[in-house]
Amino acid sequence: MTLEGRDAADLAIELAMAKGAQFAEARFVQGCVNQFLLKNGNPEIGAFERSSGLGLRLIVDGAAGFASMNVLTQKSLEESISAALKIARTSRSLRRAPLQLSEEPANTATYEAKALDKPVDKHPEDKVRLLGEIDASMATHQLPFRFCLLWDNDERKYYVNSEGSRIESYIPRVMFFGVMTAISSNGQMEQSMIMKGASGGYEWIERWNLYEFLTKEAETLNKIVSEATAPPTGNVDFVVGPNVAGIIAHENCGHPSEADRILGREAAQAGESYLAPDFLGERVGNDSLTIIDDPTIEGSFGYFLYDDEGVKTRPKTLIKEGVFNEMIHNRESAFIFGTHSTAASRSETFSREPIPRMSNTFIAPGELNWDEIFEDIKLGIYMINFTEWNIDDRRFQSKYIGMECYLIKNGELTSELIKRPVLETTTTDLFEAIDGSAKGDVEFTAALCGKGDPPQAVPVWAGGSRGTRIRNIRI
Amino acid sequence: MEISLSELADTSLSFLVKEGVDDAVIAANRSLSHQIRFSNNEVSISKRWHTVNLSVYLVKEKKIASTDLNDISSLDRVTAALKDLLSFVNSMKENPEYRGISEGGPFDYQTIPQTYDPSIKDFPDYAIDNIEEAINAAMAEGATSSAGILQWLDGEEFLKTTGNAEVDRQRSHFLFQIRSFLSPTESGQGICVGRDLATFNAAQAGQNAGELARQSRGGKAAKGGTFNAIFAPTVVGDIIGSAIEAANPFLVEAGRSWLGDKLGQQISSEEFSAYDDGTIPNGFRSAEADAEGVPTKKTLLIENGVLKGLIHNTNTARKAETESTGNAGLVLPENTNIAIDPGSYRFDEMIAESKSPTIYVSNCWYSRAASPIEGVFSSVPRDAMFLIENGEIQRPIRELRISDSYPNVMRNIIAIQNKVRQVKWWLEVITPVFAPAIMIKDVKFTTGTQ
Repeated sequence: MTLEGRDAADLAIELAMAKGAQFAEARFVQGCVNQFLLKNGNPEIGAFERSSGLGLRLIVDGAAGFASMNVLTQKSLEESISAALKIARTSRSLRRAPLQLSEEPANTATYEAKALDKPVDKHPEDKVRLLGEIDASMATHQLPFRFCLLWDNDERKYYVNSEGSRIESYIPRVMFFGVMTAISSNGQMEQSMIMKGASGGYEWIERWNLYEFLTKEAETLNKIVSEATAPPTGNVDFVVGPNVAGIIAHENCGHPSEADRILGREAAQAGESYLAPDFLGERVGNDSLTIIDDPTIEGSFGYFLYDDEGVKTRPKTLIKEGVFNEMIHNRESAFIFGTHSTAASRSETFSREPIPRMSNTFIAPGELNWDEIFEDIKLGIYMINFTEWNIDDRRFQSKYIGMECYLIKNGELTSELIKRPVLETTTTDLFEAIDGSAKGDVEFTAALCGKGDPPQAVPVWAGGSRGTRIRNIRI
Repeated sequence: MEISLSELADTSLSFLVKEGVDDAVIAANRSLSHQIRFSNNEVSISKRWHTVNLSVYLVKEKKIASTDLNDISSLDRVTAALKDLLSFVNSMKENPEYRGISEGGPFDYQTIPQTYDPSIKDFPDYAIDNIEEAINAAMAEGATSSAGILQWLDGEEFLKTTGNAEVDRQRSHFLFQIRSFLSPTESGQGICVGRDLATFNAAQAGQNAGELARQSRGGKAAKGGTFNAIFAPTVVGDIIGSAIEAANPFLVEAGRSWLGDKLGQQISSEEFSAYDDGTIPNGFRSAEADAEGVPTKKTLLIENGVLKGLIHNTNTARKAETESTGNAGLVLPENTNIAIDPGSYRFDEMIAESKSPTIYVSNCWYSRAASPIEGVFSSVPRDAMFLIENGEIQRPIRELRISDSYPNVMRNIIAIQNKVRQVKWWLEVITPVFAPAIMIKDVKFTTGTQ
C-alpha cells in the first residue's frame, strides 16, 4: 500500500532509529513543474512534471548514508533504510573521525511564500499566451534568433528529523529565461541571456515589466552590434551595474565562503576556496566592501525561512567592511569549525543531499551619489551586464566580459558603447579595488547555481546597487 | 506487486492512441544507482537512489507536450496523469515546423557489446575497496589528499512508440573521478568511465591523479600570451567536444552554433575527423536505440576537417530532407558518444616536437562561450599544467586561462595522439568523448594576475 508523503517521512525516521541510526532526517518533496519553450516564435514543447519522493539522510556508526525513493510503500522504505544503513556502515572503514552535526534547536514551523497568482491556479493556456506575448516583445527589433522559456514550480516540502524538528513549507516559483542574438549588416554578433526569477506567482511578470524590458534589450543589442567600438587599453576604472556586482558577489565571495569548499569536501567537483579555514577575521578587500547573503528576502528566488536541516535562517554578512566575517555552513561543516550552522543547507529536490549553498547574495549599497561615482574617473567603463564569465575552482582568477558597456571620460558617463571589455583579475585584487558603491536599493538578477555531485541547481538571486566602482583594472 | 515496465508502457500507449494522439513515445524506467563521495582521503557520504518513472511525449495536431511521472504506484494514477497531459497538450499552440517521429518500426536492433554488466548488482559489496585502492595509489605517487566520486547504475528501460518501435533493454554504467592534491594549488585528476566493470580500474585513475599532482609541485603563475598547446584528452573532451556538439540543427536554429552555415566547408585542419557513435562497446551513452526507438549508428560529422553532417532526430531530419541519425532527443537531437579519430603521434613525440614554448593543459573547467554563434569561448585550466620547451617539459605553471575561439582552435590542430580514451566527468564533459591528446598551434592564454 502506498503511503502518503508526510506519513512516509515520519515512519522513515522511526524505522531508521529503530534499526540503529544515531540521527535521521527525511524530506518529502512534492514538485509540480510546468515549462513552455519557444524557439524563434515556434512552440517547441510544453512539459509538466509531477514529482514526489522521499530523501532520507542518516548517520550510523559515525558515517553518513543517503537514500531516496519515489515508491513510498513500507516495504520500499524498509529496503531503502536497510540499504542506506549498510552503505554507511561499510564506508566507516574509510573515515577517520566520526561524522557529527552541530547542535541546533529543534524547530517546528509551517510557512509559505506569498503568491497572488499561483502557478498551480493558472491555466496552461494562459501561460502559453503569456509566453507568446513575451516573445513578441523580443521580436519587435528584427533579431535573427530568439529563444525563450517560461517555467514555474509549486513545491511543497515536509522536513522531519530525529531531534524533533518538523518544518512544512510551500514555495511557488516562476522563472523566465530568454536568449536574443543580434547580427549587424557587417557581421558583428552579440547575444543576450536574460533570466528573471522569483518566489511567488505570475504577478512577477508585471513586476518585472518584462515586455518593456525585453523590447529595450532587443533595441540595445542591435545598437551594440552596430555601434560598439573597441575598449580602451591599459588601466581603467570600472563602474559595474547590479547584474555584474551580483555575479561578483556570488562567484568571488559566496562560493569561496562555502565551508564545505573550504574544508575540501567539494574539491573534485566545484572546487575548493582561496579562503583558508583560518582566514575568518582577515582582511580580504577594501573597507568599502560588504557582501551579504540573505535567504529571508520576501519574493526572492532564493527564499527560504528554514533550511533543509530544519535550521532557522537569517541574513549572513560574508564580508564586512573588507573583512571575511562569516562562512556559509550546514550542520556538518559547522561542527568541524566548532560553531553553529548558518542555516544554509539546501538540496535541489528530495533525491539530493543537503549541502551548504547561497541564497540571495549581494554587494551592499554604499554612500555615493550617482554623480559622485563618476566624477574623478578620467577613463573608465560602465559595465551594465555581461556575456561570458568564468572563474577558477579556488574562486581566485575571474573573468567577466561586458555586454552593454559605456565609456566614462573625464568624469562623465557617455553614450559611447564599448564592445566586450574584459574584467579579468584576481579576487583579492578585485575586492581591494572596489572603493565605493551607490546609495539606494539593491537590484537583483536571478540564476540557478550549480554545485554538488550529482550536480544540484538551486534558485538564487545576486545583486548590488546601481553602480559599484572598481579602480585601476588592466584591460 | 510492482507493475512491470512493459505493462506500464503498453497500457499508457494504448490509452493515448485511443484518445487520438498522432505521435507518442513512452519510456518506462527503473534503476538502482549508488554514489560514494569522498574527500580528504575519507568517505563523505554514501548514497543510494531507487527510481521508477515514466516519460511520456505526445503530439496531437502538431501540439507537443511531455511529462515525467514518478508517481506510478497504480495504473489508475498513471491514467489520471495521462488525462492531465492530454488536457495540457490541448492548451499548447501548434508548432508549424513539426515533422513527426519515426514510423519505421518495428526495428531490428543490433546488440551492442558491453552495455550491461550483470555483475554491477554485486558492486555495492566491494565498491569501497576500489576507492581505497585509488586513494592509496595517489598517495604512493606523493599526493597528500584525494577527493572524488564513484557512481554506478543498474537499470532497465522499456520504450514503445506509435511508430511501432519497441525497445527492452538493461543498462549499467560506472563513473569514477579522483582529484589528488599535494597542496591547494598542486593537483591532478584521474577518471575511469564505462559500462563493463571489467574495464574499471580505479587504482590506475588514482595513480594518474597522484602523478599529475606530484608533477605540478612548485608551479608558478605564468604570463599570458599566444603559445602552442597540447590538450590532454579531458581538455579535448571539454573544449573540442563542445565545438563538435554544435553540429546540431536545433542549436543552429536557435543561434547557438558556430557551425550554422558551414556544412561542406573546411572547419578544422585536415588531420581531424570525428563522429557521433552510439554503437561503441562500453561507451557511456551507447544504446541500441535513441529516444524515439530509431537504431543508433556511427555518423560522420567531420572528415579530414570538412563538416560532413549534423546529428538528427526524425523531426530535424525531415526538415533538412535527410535521414535520422539515431540521435533523438525528443525536443532536440542529442549526441550519444563523440568519437575523434586517433592520429599518428605518440604522446612523447608530441612533447619532443614542441621546440617553441608550448603549454600542456591536463584539465580544464568552466568553459563558457561569450558568443556561441561565433564560437568565442574561454576555459580555465585546473590541475597540473606545464611549460614545454626544446622538446622537454620545463616546469609546472598555473593561473592561466584559455581565451580563444572554436574556429581558431579547430583550424590550428597540428598533431593528434595515436590512441583515444573515454572522457566524461561532472558538469564539464557531459557528453562522453573518445578523445586523444591534441596539439594546437597559436592558442591564446590570458591571466587575471595583474
